[in-house]
Amino acid sequence: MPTVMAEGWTTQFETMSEKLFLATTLTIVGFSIVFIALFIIIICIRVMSGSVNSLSGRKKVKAVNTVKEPVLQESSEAPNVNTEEYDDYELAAVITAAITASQTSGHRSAPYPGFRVRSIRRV
Amino acid sequence: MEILKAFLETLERLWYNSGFSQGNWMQFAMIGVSFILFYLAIVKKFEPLLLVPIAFGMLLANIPGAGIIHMEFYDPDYIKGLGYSDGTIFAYRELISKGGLLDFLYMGVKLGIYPPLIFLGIGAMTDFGPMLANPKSLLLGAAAQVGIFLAFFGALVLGGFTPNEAASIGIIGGADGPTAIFTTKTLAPHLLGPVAVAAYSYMALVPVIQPPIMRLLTTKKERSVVMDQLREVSKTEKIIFPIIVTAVVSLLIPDATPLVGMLMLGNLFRESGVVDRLVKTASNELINIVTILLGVSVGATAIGTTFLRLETIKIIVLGVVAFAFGTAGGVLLGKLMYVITGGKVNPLIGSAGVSAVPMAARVSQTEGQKANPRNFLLMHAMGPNVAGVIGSAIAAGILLALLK
Repeated sequence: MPTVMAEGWTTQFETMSEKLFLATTLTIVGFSIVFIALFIIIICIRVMSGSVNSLSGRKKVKAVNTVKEPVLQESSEAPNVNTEEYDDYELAAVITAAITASQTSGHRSAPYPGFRVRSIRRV
Repeated sequence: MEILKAFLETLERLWYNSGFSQGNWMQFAMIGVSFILFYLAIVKKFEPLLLVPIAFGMLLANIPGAGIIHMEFYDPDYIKGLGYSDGTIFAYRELISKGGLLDFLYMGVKLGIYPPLIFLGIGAMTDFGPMLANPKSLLLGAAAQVGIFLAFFGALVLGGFTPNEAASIGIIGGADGPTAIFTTKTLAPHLLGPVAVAAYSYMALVPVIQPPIMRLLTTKKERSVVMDQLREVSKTEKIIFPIIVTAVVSLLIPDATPLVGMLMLGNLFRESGVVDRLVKTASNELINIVTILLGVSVGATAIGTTFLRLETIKIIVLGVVAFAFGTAGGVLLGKLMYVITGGKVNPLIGSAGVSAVPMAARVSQTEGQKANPRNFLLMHAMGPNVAGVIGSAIAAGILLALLK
C-alpha cells in the first residue's frame, strides 16, 4: 500500500495498473476540490451579498423614515409595461456589448471595463 | 603574401567564432521554430504580447556560441555535481560569476515571481461584478477545469509522462499562461518552453477551437436563450470579495496563495477606489514590464535538446485535448443549468469558464448572436470567465500541493 505522506510519493506507482489508480485518484480528488473550493466561495458571496444588501436596505428604510418624501400620486392609467422596457434592456445590452468589445479587443490582458449602462437619453 | 595569409587566418578565426560554424542542427531548427512563432505572433496576431518576447527569447537562446542563458545552472544533477547541498534549486555561485542577462531574468520564473505579478495586473483590470451578480457562474468556472484533470490523466496513463510532467501538461487546459508557467516551473521545469508555447498558442486559438465544440454540444434552441439582465453589484460587495476569496482559498489551498493572493490584491486596488496610482501602475506599466521579462526568459528555456523531442508533440496534442475537454465541461454544466432553471441559462456561457479572459467570453457572445441576433451574452459570460481564472489557480494549487 503506497504512503501518500512520503516525499516523492508518486514514484511508488510503477506498473500501468498502479499508474491508472494514481491518475484516477488524483483526477477525482483534484476536480472535486476545485468544485468544493468554488462552492465555498459561492456560499461566501451569497452570505456577503445578503448581509451587505440587508444593511444597505436598513439604511434606506431609515432614510425614508426620517425624510418626508412627497407622496406620489397614483396614476389611473395602466402602467406602461414590458415592450418599451424590454427594448431598453436590449438597447442597453447592445451598447454595453459594443463598448466592451471595442475596449477589450486585442489580447489576453486587455482591460475588462467593468461598467454598466444605466440610462440612455435620446437627444 | 604575408598580408594575404594573415587576412585569411583572420577570416578563418572569425568563421570559427561565428555561430554558423559552432551551431548544431538543433539550434538552427529552433531558430526556425522561433521564426514560425514570429510569423504567428506578428502576421496572424496569435497572442502577440507574449509570443513576440517568447519567440525572441527562443531566438537569442539558440544562437550558437552566444551563451546567453545557461540552463545547466538549474539542472539538479549539475547542481549536485558541483557539491551544492540538497534542496539548492540553482547553482548560485556559477550564476553570479558566469551568468548573463537571461540567466538573471530567468530567476523571476524559477522563483515564481513573474506569474503572480502578472496576476496582480490582471486583478487590477478585472471586474468581478458579473460573477458576483450571478455566483452560480463559479460552478461553470469549476466545470471547465475538467480539461486540466482529464489531460493529466491522459498524459500520465497514455502519454508515458511522470505525474509531475502530466500535471504541467494538464494545466494547459486552464487556458491561463501565467498559471501554466507557475505550475510547470515547480513540477517540470524542463518542459517550461513547450508548455508555455502550447498554452499561449491555444489561448490565441480560442475562437478556432471552441465554437465547433460549443455547437456540437448544444441545440439551436439552447444557444438562442436570452438571459435576464444581471443585478447591479454594490461597491461594498466588490471591496469585500477579494479579501474573502484570499482568506478562503489561501486557507484551503495554501499553494494557490501566490496566484490568487496577487490577483485579489490587484482587484482590491481597483475596487477600493483609493489607490488609483497603484491601479494604473499594476494594470499598465508593471504588467507590461513583467510580460516582457516573462516572455523573453520563458522563450529562452526552449532550447533544442528539450524542445525538439517527441514529448513536445505529445504536449501540443494533449494541450488541445485539455482545452477541448475544458470547453466541453463548461458547456455541459451549462446545459445542466439550462435544464434545472427551466431554460433560463444559455449553455454557451459555460465555455467561457476556461479562463482566457476576455476572449472566451467574446466567443460565447459571438456564438450566441449567431443563433439569435437579439442575444447579448457577453456580460453573462464574463462571470464564468473570471471564475475560470480563480478556478485554474485553485487547480494549479491543488496539483502543486499533491505533487511537488
